[in-house]
Amino acid sequence: MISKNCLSEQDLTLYYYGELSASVAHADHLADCLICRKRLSALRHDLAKLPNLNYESDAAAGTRMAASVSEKLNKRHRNWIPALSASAIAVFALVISISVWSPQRQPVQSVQSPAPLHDALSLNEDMPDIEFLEDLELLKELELLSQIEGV
Amino acid sequence: MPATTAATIDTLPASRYPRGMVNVEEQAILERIRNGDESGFELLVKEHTGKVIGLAWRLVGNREDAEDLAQEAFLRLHRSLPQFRGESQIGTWLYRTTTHLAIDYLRRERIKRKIFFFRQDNEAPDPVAFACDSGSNPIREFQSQEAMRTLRKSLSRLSSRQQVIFTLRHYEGLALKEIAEHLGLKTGTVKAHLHRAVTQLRLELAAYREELI
Ligand SMILES: [Zn+2]
Repeated sequence: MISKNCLSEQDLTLYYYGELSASVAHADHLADCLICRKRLSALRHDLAKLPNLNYESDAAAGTRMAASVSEKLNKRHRNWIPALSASAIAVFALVISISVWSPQRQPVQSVQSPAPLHDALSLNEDMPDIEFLEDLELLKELELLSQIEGV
Repeated sequence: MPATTAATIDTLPASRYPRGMVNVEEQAILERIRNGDESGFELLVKEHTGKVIGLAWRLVGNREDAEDLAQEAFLRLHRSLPQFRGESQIGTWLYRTTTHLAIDYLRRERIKRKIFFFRQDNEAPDPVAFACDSGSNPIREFQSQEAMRTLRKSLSRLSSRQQVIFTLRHYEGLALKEIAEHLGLKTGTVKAHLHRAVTQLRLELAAYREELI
């Protein structure tokens, strides 16, 4: 019968993994207690049956990964340049049209102040990237899920 | 401690990153990258690919997704390189990032699975069964494939956190304290998660064995 000195189930798991503090006391108890030894043996038996998860990597994996990462980095770089230019042109066009349509025409100098360009840059920095879009997808799924569960 | 050895001996030496010392060679590579030499980054990727994909594969159970997660970890590493100074270790950083990416992946997979089972779309493949592969050796015996599938299925029924904590402790041989640091949790919480994971896995696997009888 399990006594108050016997290891709890969690302690047994931690003992198995060598993660139990004061394990000397527990080892002493295990030496004396047949029940705890049997419980530990059952745990060891179950976990020993788990398959190994040894990953076998091929020699060219590193080269392939380096190439695909480099390609992605270049793609991101290439996508940024047109996006940046498009934003700058859009802001420029907007500023020009405001200055043209404004009833009190502003002097041209104020149009060419550096602020809009800076805005364009920061706007571009805030453009959603793929991760953000994936998160958005996830949110949609979550929304769908909550609707489903609410039914 | 015989029990500890029994649990970790198969995977520990091959999979763990060296810790606690700054790699001089790595610092030289970082210096090259800081000076604009991108081939240094390529070297880092080649050096760490096997370990990062291996970790991701053990965590998510699917080679293709493991490679995607590894790729994302390297892209994030590239972004973070300017922050790396003398005391940082690339291996540890990659280990942590890959683990976090895997937790996110597992959470998404759970949501997909819930939606799948609600729709009861029997024609589509079960995402769990689909995610189970045996790794890189196609000539594995049927029995070991079956054991792997059962393990993957049982692992997928744990919470993402429990699954990751169990894998990191049992297969990666990380100390619970290290796992707690990686995941930003208290060691006590990690201990409780590990125990729940072990208990549930034992129940699942016992039930599976009974089914076979
Ligand atoms: Zn006892």
